[in-house]
Amino acid sequence: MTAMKTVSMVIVLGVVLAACSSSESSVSVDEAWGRTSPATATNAAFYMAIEGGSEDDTLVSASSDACGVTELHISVMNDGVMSMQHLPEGIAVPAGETVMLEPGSFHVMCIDRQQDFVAGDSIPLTLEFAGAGTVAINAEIREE
Amino acid sequence: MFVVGGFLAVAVFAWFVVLPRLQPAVFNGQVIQSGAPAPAVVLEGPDGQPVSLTDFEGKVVVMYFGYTYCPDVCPVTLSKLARVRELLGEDADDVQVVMVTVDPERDSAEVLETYMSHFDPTFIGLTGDPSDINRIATVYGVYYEPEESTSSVGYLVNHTATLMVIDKDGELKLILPFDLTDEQVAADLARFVG
Repeated sequence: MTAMKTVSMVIVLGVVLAACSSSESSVSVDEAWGRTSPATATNAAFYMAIEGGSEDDTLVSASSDACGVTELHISVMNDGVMSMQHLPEGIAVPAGETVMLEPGSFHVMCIDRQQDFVAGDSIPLTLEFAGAGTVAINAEIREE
Repeated sequence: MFVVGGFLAVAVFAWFVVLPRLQPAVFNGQVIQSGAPAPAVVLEGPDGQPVSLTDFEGKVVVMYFGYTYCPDVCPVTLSKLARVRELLGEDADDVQVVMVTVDPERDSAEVLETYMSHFDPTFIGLTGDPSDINRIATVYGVYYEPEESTSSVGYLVNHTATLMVIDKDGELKLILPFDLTDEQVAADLARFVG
């Protein structure tokens, strides 16, 4: 009986700790979207607003069945010249701050697009954060 | 009485009609005082047909240098130009949007045709011999350079992201920065059309 009580307490404690850990580093992702893609466009981009939790975090990767490969990129303007850079280290999401993935800046790059992106479609994306873990979202496809 | 009335009429006419025409036009883009003429370089257009930039004389050409592997800045720019055409109404018939690829290795005429018509059926994409594309880019002061990347997409192409506005006589007149709004671009183009 004592052993059972101990096991139960350990399980309860574990659940509570897991819940605390999750809430401490939680992030929230809103307004995820992408644009309709030309049929011959191999690549596409997804944008979103990532609201940081109570601790610093990093978006380390993204994946989607709609893309052969999914990477994190940034477009940088320098003296009128635009360059796109791969961000293998991820995108920092400071605590309490909102990081915008938006046109001309950070974006999730969908390489080797596997399906048509039609206005109104909802594309499932899985985001991996260093602290918050896996966050599943849907990106709305818009005619923009 | 008549003299005062006549004087007032002349003053009103001068204030509202003559003075605005004497003032220099204010553009949102950068004005080019001595624009380069369109070079007679032949590229490959829709259906693989030869297209020379001089073919567009009589139209206001908005020229962009981009590539179809670019998923961010290029679609943003072309979508903006599609909305600008709507803002211009009937005057849009005088405007020809042209994208010259900075990635001729991956952008065939066929790929470009489908890509450009997605944004607007009147948009034209041009590809061709790399040396010809380089010649055009040099005339318009456009920089582009492929850069190896850790991305699985392979190389990416850094490129000037401004828009070139070429008037109906084939002369470069304006350079429009990437971050202008739809309304600002439409206002600048409106001065060249009609």
